[in-house]
Amino acid sequence: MGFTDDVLERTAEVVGRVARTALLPWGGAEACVDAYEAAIRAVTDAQLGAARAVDVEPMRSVLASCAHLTRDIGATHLSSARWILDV
Amino acid sequence: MSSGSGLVSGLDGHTRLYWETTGTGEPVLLVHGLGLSGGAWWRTVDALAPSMRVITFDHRGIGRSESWTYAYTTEAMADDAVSILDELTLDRVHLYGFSLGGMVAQQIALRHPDRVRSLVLGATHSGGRRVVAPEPPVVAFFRRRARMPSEEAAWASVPYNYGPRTRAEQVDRIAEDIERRLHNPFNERAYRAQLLAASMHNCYGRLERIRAPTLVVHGARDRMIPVANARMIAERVPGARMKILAEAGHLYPTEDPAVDEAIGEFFAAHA
Repeated sequence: MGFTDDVLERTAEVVGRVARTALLPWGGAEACVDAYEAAIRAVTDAQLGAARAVDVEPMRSVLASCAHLTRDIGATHLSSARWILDV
Repeated sequence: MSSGSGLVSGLDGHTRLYWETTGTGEPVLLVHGLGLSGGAWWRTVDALAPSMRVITFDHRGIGRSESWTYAYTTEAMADDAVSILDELTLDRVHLYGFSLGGMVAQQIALRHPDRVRSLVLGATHSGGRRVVAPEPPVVAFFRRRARMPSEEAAWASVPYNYGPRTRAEQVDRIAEDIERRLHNPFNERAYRAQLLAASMHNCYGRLERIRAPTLVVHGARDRMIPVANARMIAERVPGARMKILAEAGHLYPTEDPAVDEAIGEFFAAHA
């Protein structure tokens, strides 16, 4: 493991420990990440539902693209959060 | 043997996904790995299609599939795969993901559990902090590969893709693989986007939520994704079985053809 990786790993460990402690009042880190994931899914599904219902372009494409952006940005947050929190 | 192909258009008006289906019987969806098209499954299609309906597809941005942006996640690729099942009106399928495709298959099993009858995770990892990374020369090769011409990259990747025995005794099979791979033009931007998706992939903490019967397959000589990752997945997915191929490297379907038969039997046992 290189020096940069080592520093990154140690920093993530410390940040993760602090964040896990801070999230305890809200049911713990895993529950919070799960809740965020559920929220992302709900918003994405709502946007996709609207896209399917609106049979007019470019509204449909815009709504579907927003849904995909929400999903992918959310996925990036979730992946990073899970990595830092180790859940 | 019946076969067909088509394109699924995404609601966003930009994403188009190319799929092919071969054979009849219980449906199985094959999800391929980094930088490859669905055509890379040719050996497995030949092995499974006599008794199953085998569906392959090109990931977004690869082969005959198109994408609006070059920013992918394994979540997006999982939803792409499910959109193909929707197009083919298939409620539940057997699912076999290889390498990056195995990461996508994990996401399908977690995001769309009702669609998965059984799951095979081949030569893959779960992501997250505990992932066992390849050795530094392998990582350096991944980065270099995107800039290489296709044929040079295909041959340069041989020491990383195949185990020592295959490199010594089965050069003709390696050459067949490369010839097939070169049929599809390599898309550097899509390759980089897939690398990013793989590096952001993280299902480690959720593997225990997978409910589908699962078989984990891995080559013991895999340098791309070390075999310790397979053991980690098999320990965390409830009831998962594991098959380690002693002499195989990363591309075990080429190196150990008998494995396709074992995978077919696993699917048949969970039909």
